[in-house]
Formats: sequence, C-alpha cells, structure tokens
Amino acid sequence: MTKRFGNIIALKRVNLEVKNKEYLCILGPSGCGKTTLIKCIAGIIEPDEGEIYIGDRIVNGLPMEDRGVGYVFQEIALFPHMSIYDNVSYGPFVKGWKITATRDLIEEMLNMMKLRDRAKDYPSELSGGARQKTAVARALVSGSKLLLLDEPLGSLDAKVRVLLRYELRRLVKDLGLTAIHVTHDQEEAMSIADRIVVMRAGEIVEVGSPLELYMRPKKIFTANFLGEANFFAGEILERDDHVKIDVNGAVLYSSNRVDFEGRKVIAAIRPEFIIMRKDGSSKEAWRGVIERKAFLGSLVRFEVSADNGVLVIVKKPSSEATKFNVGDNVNIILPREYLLLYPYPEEGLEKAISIE
Amino acid sequence: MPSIRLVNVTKNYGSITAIKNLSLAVSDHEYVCVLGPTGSGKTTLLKLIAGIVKPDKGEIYIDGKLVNNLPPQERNVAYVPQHYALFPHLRVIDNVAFGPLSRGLRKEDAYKVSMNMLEMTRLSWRADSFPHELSGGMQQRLALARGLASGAKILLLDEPLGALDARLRVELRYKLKDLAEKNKLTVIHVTHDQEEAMSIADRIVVLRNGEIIQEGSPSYIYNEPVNIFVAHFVGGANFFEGFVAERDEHGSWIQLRNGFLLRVNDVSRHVGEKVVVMVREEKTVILKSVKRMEETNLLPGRIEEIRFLGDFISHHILLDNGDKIVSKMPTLIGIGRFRVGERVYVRLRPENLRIYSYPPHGLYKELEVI
Repeated sequence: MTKRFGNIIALKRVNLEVKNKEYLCILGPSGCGKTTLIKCIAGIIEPDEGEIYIGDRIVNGLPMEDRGVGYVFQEIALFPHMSIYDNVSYGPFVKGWKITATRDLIEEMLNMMKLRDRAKDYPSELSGGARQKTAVARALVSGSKLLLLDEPLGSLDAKVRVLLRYELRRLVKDLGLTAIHVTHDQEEAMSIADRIVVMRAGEIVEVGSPLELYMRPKKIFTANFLGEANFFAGEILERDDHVKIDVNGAVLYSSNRVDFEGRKVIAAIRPEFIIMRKDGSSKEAWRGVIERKAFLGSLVRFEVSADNGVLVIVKKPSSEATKFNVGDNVNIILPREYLLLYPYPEEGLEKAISIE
Repeated sequence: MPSIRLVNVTKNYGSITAIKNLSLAVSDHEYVCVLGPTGSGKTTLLKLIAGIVKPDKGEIYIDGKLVNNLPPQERNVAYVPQHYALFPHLRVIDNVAFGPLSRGLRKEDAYKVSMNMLEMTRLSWRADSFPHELSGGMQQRLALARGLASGAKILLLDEPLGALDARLRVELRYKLKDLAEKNKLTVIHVTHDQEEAMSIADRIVVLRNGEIIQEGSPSYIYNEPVNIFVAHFVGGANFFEGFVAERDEHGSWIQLRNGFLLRVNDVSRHVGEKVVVMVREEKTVILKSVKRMEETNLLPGRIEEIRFLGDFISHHILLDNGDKIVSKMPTLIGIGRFRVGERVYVRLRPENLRIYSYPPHGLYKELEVI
C-alpha cells in the first residue's frame, strides 16, 4: 500500500498481515506514517496504490461505515451535548437498531467499562480517562470485530495511561476482537501487544513480539526505539565461535553471529544487561569512572566514562545500586550473549537511530 | 540565599482555590520538578512565580527581592508555557533572538547567542523555517531555546517535554538537565510524569489540590512516601487493607483479608486500628516452594498474569486470601522462570513494608487517578 500527500510519501509500499483476534500495536515516531496507515484501513482516507483486505473482502473504496470497524480517535471526540449513555448508543441509534434490543448491549458495555454510574452525566463532567473509555465503548457497541485505535491514550496523564492500557487489552481479549492500536509509546506497545510493527518514515522496519524486538532486535532503529541501548562503533578483529571487536582500543566479545560483510560494526547492549562491579577486574572487563547516578525508582541509571573514552549507560536494580556512587572506579563487563552486532550504517549511527 | 521563595501563597479562581497557603524555597542552581496530577495547581504555581497572575495572599521573593507587584518582564525569569506561544510570523532564529534584542543586545550578539541556543536544542538546521513548518517536538525545543536565550538565570518550564514522543522525551530529558547545569540555571520544571521527575530532579515537590504533600530527593520520595497518594503516584505500589492485630516493642502484626498475617516494623499504631500496608512491586520475592512453612510473611497464591515490560517482568498474583499483588523483577531474572497458573509463595520482608492509616474516604478513592 502506498499513500502520497503531494511530494511526501507517507506510506511506501507497505505490506502487513494482521492475524484474527490479535492485539497489534503499530509503533513509531511522529511522522512515520502510522496514523495514515490506520486511516487507510478505516476508510477515512484512500491509498494511492495497493489493496486492503478485511477478512477476505477487499475494502478499497468502501465507505467507513460499511467496513465493520470501530474507530477510536486520539482527541476522543465525544458529542458534548449528549449524555454518556446517548454517546455510546449513537451508533445503533443511527443504524436504526431496535431500541429494546440494544439497551441490554449498551448497559453491558457501560458495565464493562465501569461507566454505569456516569451514564446520565455529560462528557465535560468526566475525567480524561473516563471520556476515553466512553469513546471505546461507543466504538465497540456497533458490534465491530475490528477495533482501530489511533493513539487512544495520548491525551491522558502518564499514570492514567498506564492503568487504562491494560483495561483496553483485557476488553479486546474478553470480547474476542482484533485490535490495531497506533502509538508512539514503546512502553505502552510492549506491555499490551501480541505483536508490534515498528515503523519509520513510511516504511515497516521490523515486526515481532515485544520480547523478540526487545531482546533480539534485527535493526538498530528498533534497538534504540524500544528502550535504551548502548551503541559502540568498532572494528571486527576476529570471527570465530565468538566475534572479537575493537572499540576505541578496548576489546569486546560477542557470541552472536555476524551475517554481514565488512569490518566496521556497531555493537549494542541494553544498560540493564551490563555487569558493574567495584572489584574483580578481568581480561574482558572495561575500567571506568561513574560520572552520573540517577535514581529512577526500581532502577538506578549510571553514566560510566570508560577508560577507552566511551560513555556507557548502566542500569541496576535500586537494591544493588546503593554502594555505587559518582566518582567510583568500576569494572564493567558486557556479557557476550547480550552484545548484539549490526553492520555499520552508511548514513552514520546518529542518523540510523534518529527518532526525528 | 534561595533563588525563589514563596511564603504562604494562596491563589483563588472564583470559588476554586488553585494554590492553598503554599510555602516553598528553591536554591540557586537547583533543578526542582513540581509533580502532580492534572488540576493540582502546577501551572498556576509557575504563573505566580512568573508574574502572570498575582497571589491573593502571601509573598513571592526572587533573589531576595519581594516581587508581588513586579510585572513578568522585570522579574528576570524565563517562562516557557505549555503551548509554546511562538511568534508565528517570525522565523525560528528571529523567535529566539527576540528576547536578547528586546533586552538591548547588539544585533550581532543577539544572533550569536540565538544560534548557540539553536545548536544546543538541535534546531540550528531549521533556523530559517517558520514555526508552523516544524514538528510538534521541534516547536517545543524552539520554545525552550527562546527561553534559554533570554539570559534569565531562572527557567520556569510547564510540561516542557509533554508534546514529544515517548522515546524522544526520554532522550531529551537528560539533555535538558545538561543544559541547565552547563548554564548554571535554577529550574522549576512542572510535570505529571513521575518517571521524568525522578530521573532529572535534584528535588521533587509533590503537589495535590494546590498543596505540597511532600518534597525531597527522588530516592527520599520513592523510599519514604508520606502517604498513600504519594506512594501510588510516584512509582506505583501494592496496597493491602488490614488492621493491627497485635503490637509489641519491636513491631506489629497486621491482619489482612481472610486471616493472613504480616509482620511489620511499625510500632506507632494501636491494636484494632484499620491500616493500609504498602509494598513496592520490586521489593517482593516470588518463590516456587518453601522449606519451612512456619516462616512469616510468606503468602501463598497463584500467578494470574505475566507481563513483559522491557527491562522488567511483572507477575500478577492472586493470593489465597483474595488479595492481589504485583511482583516485578529484572527481565534476565524473570524470563521463563514462572508460568501462568503456577502456585507460588510471595515473600515480603518487614523492612520493605510501610503502614498508613486507613484513608477516611476509603482506599479506592485515595488511589483514584482516573
């Protein structure tokens, strides 16, 4: 599927398969095309090239109301002059369904969203989270099996977002629906998606389960986007069972395969997989000095300036971090199995992982 | 001498009290995050310091001088509002140079300072663009650059990273702190994002309904939350209802639902008092089996759900007494270790348990953020 807006190619020959009853998250930075993608599926806009199938039906050209999808907007978009009950019952009302038949359905939906006591209230009287739940209820009550959510939690406080996202997933799973949920928040995507589609600049970078993408990302962009990662530019010295790499004069080993040519490489490792100790220097350890220490709650984040001039980010559970302080000399070990290797990007590291 | 001091400040909007008798002191070069839910009064607090609104009661001092009647432009603070207020008809560079030029700097110097700020905020390559041509994130950084270029030593930031993508927010927050340190600024940074506050603040001020509930370093607020609201809002935790069954000189026994007993180190409550027990998710240990059943603070239950959170894995457990608990552990430790449906024991060490009085309106109301 391809979509252009003037000179800008918002979607570049995108191919995607969404499985039945899957909770799929489309994840990417602003401008990557994720909203354009979901709007094409919904029928809000039409692609310039390519086909969209819902079930085995091609839906290109079909108006939104005939595609059998429920859509939730980021701005929530409730009717301000209608009560919560009326907002939720709008779909069936417009479709001309029998009032008595739908009343049970609406009551059930309101119950499920814990909105029963607010049925007579107006949107302005509800909190952001409750308004968003109303929008979801409204999208679902028309019986669609496919729920499309465009940054559904975007306008809510951080705390509310965390609480509501699990409710969303639970609802979708309880009702046996298929959901496509667009977001820029990788934590959100990782915590509720069955699979994540990572997008950038109109293209799909990688698709996988949260665990796969976090532990073994195939692309550098994914590695950087899904959580913090250290990236070291280096040169491959040896390729045996283990790969030996030179980074600024210091040595690293990786037990991961290198299936690309060339000597220039990027070695990547997540901060929480790095071992940091005050004692026990070993052949493989780098020595360094702690420059910064930030308390993050359950984790502490350290910035360590290694002797080879490289900055290494290390994270430790808070209970283990108390004896490390700014100015301490430490030994850091980057375990071979967690050191991932990527070909050095043509455009340079910064451009390759850039989020903007 | 503190850079900023508020003494018994109150601000009303009609019948709503946005700020209630609030006192606060911010030291030179300090990076303070004011943290609270929407509607807690954080924006009003900034506007009071900036001089955009006037307090109904109380005094505000900046660098030792009483500023209650001083207009914003004479307070030497840079206020960066939540919705930027960029000049739409000026180019990026001119937006930034506006402040320095108004202060009387020579054109050459004003533009030099401005380019500097644009480089610091990674916007120098868009110097000739207009605000509407920039992405939301870039507009936010432009607002920041403009604030920095003003030369003020006090920066008031209202949700400075709010419009940015989650990942960009994380990246830029450390750069923001760097900028403040390099330029020796005093910063008051307002946010609803507790992770953001904890990662860069020297001190956090927790605000709720116009009042300061607690203030201190990130680790202090996290390890010693003064009440249930702070414990819940900053970091999240498990909460259990119970009452004090017994008390001796070293601690107490709290009885939870259906007879489960927990040993705690608190000796300040009366027997029979209704309480809430709090424990952080990562301060729990899950065991597959136990050797000695007489050990205390070992609660049996069943794993209902396992969630992957990136650097952590959380296990949602239904305890045999009906209570639910979430246990969080680093991914490398938790991966593949337990299964949904598995029976386990949760160990809660007394030193990791905190006790609070049962809130008058009920626990659910106190935890309500939605």
